[in-house]
Amino acid sequence: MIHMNASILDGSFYFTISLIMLIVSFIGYFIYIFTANKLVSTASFIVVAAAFALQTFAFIIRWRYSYQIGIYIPPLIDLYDSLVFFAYVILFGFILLKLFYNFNSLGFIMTFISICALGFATFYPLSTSAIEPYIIPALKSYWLLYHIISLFLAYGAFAAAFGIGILFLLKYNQLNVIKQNKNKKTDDKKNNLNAVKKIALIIFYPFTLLYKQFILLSPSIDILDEAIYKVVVFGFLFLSIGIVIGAAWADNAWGGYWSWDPKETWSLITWITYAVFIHARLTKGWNEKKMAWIAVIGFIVVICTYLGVDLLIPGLHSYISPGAAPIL
Amino acid sequence: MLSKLNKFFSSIKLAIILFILIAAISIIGTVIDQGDTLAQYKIIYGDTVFHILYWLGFLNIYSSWYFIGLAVLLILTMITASANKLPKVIKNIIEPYTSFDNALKKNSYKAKYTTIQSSKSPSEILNIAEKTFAKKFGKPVLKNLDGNAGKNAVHNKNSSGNFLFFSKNSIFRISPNIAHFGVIVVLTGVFLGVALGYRSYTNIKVGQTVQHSYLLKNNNPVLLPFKIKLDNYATKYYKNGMPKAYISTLTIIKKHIAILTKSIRVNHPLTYDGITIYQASYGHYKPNAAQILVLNLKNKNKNNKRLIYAVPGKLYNSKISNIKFSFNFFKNPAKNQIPFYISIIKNNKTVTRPIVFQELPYRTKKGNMPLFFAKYNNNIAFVFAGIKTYYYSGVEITKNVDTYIVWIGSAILIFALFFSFFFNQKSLWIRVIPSEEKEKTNKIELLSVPNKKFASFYSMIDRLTEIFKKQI
Ligand code: HEM
Repeated sequence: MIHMNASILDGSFYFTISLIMLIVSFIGYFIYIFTANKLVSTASFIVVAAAFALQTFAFIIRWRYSYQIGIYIPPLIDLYDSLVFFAYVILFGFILLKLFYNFNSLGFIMTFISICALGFATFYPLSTSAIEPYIIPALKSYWLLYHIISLFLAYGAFAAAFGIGILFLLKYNQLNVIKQNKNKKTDDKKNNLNAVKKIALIIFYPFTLLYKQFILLSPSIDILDEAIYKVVVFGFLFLSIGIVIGAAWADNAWGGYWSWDPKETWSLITWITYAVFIHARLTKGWNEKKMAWIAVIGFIVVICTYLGVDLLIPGLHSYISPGAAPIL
Repeated sequence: MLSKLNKFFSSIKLAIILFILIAAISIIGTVIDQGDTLAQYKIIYGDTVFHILYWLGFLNIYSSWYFIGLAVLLILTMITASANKLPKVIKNIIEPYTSFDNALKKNSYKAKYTTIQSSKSPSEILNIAEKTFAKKFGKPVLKNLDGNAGKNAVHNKNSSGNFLFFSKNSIFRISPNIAHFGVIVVLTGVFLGVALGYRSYTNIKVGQTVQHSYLLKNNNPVLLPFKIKLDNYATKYYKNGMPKAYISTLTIIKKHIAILTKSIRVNHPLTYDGITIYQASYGHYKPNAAQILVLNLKNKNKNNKRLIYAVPGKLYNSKISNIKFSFNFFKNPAKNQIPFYISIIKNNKTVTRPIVFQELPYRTKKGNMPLFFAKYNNNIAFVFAGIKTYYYSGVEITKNVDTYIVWIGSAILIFALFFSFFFNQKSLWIRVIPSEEKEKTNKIELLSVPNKKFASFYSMIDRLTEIFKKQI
């Protein structure tokens, strides 16, 4: 049975519409990579901006609705809320990056991540958009709002760093290939390609074209490197703030600022990963390529912290079954 | 020897290795459940695996010697690295200037060096430069517009020649040191808290007074400096039955004197004498009992009823015509059937047929619950008036020592991170070397040095240099 979150009342309908808009813009960005057509990328960006505006509207609806049914806390508490908010923050980050750096080639990665989050929110059976007229006592706290917003700003930044990191690695490889080809030009003439390789080359020819086009469109490596760094430090700052707020809240609610709960521990691991990133830059011998790799791996750690811990290890922070744990 | 040790401890490579080790150990701690009792572990893992895990310290990994050791090493590396950098950083703040040539030599890997020719006079050139670059670099720190102009300038002293020196945000060079200091403060607070404070829990029955609680990490008892009495416990519910609040009313008693009474609930603890009591859980400690009102139908007096709290299956004496009874639930009740009944025992013989309850058209005043009624032989009746629960409240009792150190350290860390990320030092030297032959063009040298190699810095310099070129 297919389950879909799309109710006008709780605002999820608008999120679902924005999902469709994002898919459209994703296709647009995909075509852009093939064609380098400026018009297509501009149109895609307008669709993204419209989807973002629609989501903003949906959040307002949802927030109002949750107040109407008597929960005086913004709707940021269950899995659905958090996934749509994640998608929202990623779009926000992309829009900023596009405005500051004119990153058109990033569009297709960022819309893709956002689509994944929104799609998961909309179709995953355990994520329901309905807002229940009750919340478990531990969540009744304004710490929650600031805790979650800080962490999601961080997650969004790390997602952006992931996207830029991938662009960087693609571009970096391509440049290396070009360099090597230049060096090898003389002995390449012997042409010792076997038949299989030739056929493979012919089949994959459109893809290599696509790849080259893509590389051409993305900004220079230096700019990518700087963008990764700036986005990561932004994320690191908000991750630190979010963790400290969470600790203060835990101190208030559970009697200790740190309990080595799996989610807490994984957030520490995330924090350490990006601390390594920041220091790696200062170590000689760690070039930009390694930094890009840490940005990519770091985001995988973020996903582990954000979803893996919930789906695999139960703990104080589980989204899935609020109230089921013996701890209040 | 000492310098080798110093070099070893202040290397960022060591810091990165420590970071990675700490992260790896933390992952083990999330895969193996921490803090269960030894008996539980034996059941989960079996004897052999349990012993191996125990020996490796994996069952309490965050207090294992190697985890703590790594944290201590991290502090040491941070202290040595920061201390080593500090003199240089401070010198850079107080006196950011070396000479032009020195700056070029030391920063060749990230500096940008350009030369321009102009026929304008040195002081004119530098005046234009000051205006152009002030937008991004602020006021020049050093300025010598026409010091030795015209004469043969001596370039190896930084006070001579015609030059401008800008250095913006140099004070923020200290931010990483402060960030490290913040982390050190946080970890110090954590260690102090672990050494001097404790986290414990205890369950208190309604009406009971306790003076001990049990450590979360090993269940050892702790003697509290006061007694805690649980006056009442209540769960409040939403209309649909979801719990809304868990509320315990506690009284603190010291030397037989009740000092204060306060209700605690989640997010709203009670702190007294440096010890904080948190609502953590609740439960019931006896089986739920049915409240059964036993009525003597023959006796029309006022004292014809008795309230008995009947635990299911247990025998109770009604004190009416030798009748004993027990309250029971049906194992497989039919649909729409009331699922409990009374068994009657008279003269030590069970009366075979269970006495089924019927719903009365009245409801209780308190809680608006339905009432049920069962009758035996026209002389005794039972009214079921609800279930009584014997609650206990689970409270966490912690002595948090020096938590404020952790918060102060966190605040320092966050502010320092902000400044070290967003306020980067940048400096710029502009020097004019007047031509030795008259009527020839003067040579202008620009040397800009960012703290971090950012593409945007170089493009900003290029842009300003273009503007500058057009003016001269
Ligand atoms: C534990 C948490 C730590 C945090 C949050 C932290 C944070 C930072 C930050 C924000 C910077 C500035 C980076 C930049 O300029 O881009 C930095 C630099 C640095 N860190 Fe750390 N650090 C930590 C641990 C360590 C440790 C254990 C060492 C031990 C070697 C260390 C050594 C250094 C050094 C030598 C610098 C360069 C300072 C400079 O260039 O002036 N850090 N750190």
